[in-house]
Amino acid sequence: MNHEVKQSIRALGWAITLSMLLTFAFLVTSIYSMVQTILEGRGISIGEVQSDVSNGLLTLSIPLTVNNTGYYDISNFNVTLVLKKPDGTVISSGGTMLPVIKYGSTATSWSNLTVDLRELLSEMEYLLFNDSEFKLDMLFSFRYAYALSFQVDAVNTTIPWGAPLYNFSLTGIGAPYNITLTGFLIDVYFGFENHSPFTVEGTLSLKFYNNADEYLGSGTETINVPPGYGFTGSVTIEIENPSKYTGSGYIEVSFESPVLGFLELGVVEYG
Amino acid sequence: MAEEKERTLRDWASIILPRVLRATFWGFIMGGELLIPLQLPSFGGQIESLFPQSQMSFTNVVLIFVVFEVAIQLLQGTVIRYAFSIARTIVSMVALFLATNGGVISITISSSAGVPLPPEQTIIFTVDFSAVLGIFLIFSLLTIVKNLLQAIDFLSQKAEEPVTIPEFP
Repeated sequence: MNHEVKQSIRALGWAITLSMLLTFAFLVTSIYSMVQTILEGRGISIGEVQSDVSNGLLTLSIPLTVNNTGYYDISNFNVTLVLKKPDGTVISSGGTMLPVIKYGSTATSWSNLTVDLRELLSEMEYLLFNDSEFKLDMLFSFRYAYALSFQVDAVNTTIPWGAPLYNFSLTGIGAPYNITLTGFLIDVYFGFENHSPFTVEGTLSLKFYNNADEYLGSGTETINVPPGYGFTGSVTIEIENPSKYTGSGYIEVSFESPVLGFLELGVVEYG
Repeated sequence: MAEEKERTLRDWASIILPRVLRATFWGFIMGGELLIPLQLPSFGGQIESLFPQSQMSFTNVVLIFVVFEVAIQLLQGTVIRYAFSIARTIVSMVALFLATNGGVISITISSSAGVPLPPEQTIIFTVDFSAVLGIFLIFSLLTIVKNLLQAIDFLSQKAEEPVTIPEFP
């Protein structure tokens, strides 16, 4: 075998070694750069969640900011969010995609999760009165340097739920007043705290019954409680048939609002 | 024609010792140095945890590489060296593929002692570098081709060397 062939084999060897070193250097720098961007530079961050309620639909808008401080571009950045009940049943899911985030640039994507509050509260009535928590699964997937695929799956992130009618209770019943032969008035006092992210606005209706299940009268009260506020008030009941009033029985409580729809809150005994 | 001298123990030592030293040196350079920290439980455990629980651990991959390198250096000047080089490349390809789970590595971080995560939360990191692994495997195939050409070159050189025919008494 001549000298030229020997030189060719040597050149092939050097070319392979050099290419392997370059590929390895690329792999190391890209992984290092990605880890630096995510862990130390906090390149992926979730902003403040914004909520909006209309027509009984609660829309949670979750901003995700990607600050690419690395050496390479990020492409096909997909975000998938899945909101689940405490038992794992899916309530809502949503996602968004950022095609390219060039190195040294920042991009923000908004992912929306829509929750049908009427449907949710009809299935999970306890959420009206009790604070609870949901589970959120977040899935980020992206390509780094157009060669490496990364996927981050954050499972079971806790999302607190604030009850709109937290600690709702009828706190007392006043003495009858404005007594006439055809009827009288009676005040029923109630209170609750709005722990939810939306304004509790609507009409509270009370129906009065005696202990013989006979209807006595009803009353309504319009309420408007912003998020994070407590409320105490009273509903004036007009008793239409005073002769049937026995001083004991039960009250049917219901609430109707544009956000939550019509809700039967339950029955409270009095007397 | 000069009569071939019978080799003494000193001659054999002068042939073998440099080879052993060279094999030790290259074995250390080509992965042997990695085996030392890998044996430390604190460091080795961390490195091993990065690789999927596959049929092949990272330490085994390095060990195979070192053993082949030592054998290649010991058999310098023979055609078996090239056979070992080809075998090392093939074994390394298979071992790399198995150790990296085909280029897809997943790391699961759960909320436990020392991990600042809320209870029940789990984070799963998955890295897919199968494209880069593919490139490495192609380079490995080219290395096999190079070793074959080197073996052919070595054999042709041997064939061209003058043959000393022993004289009849």
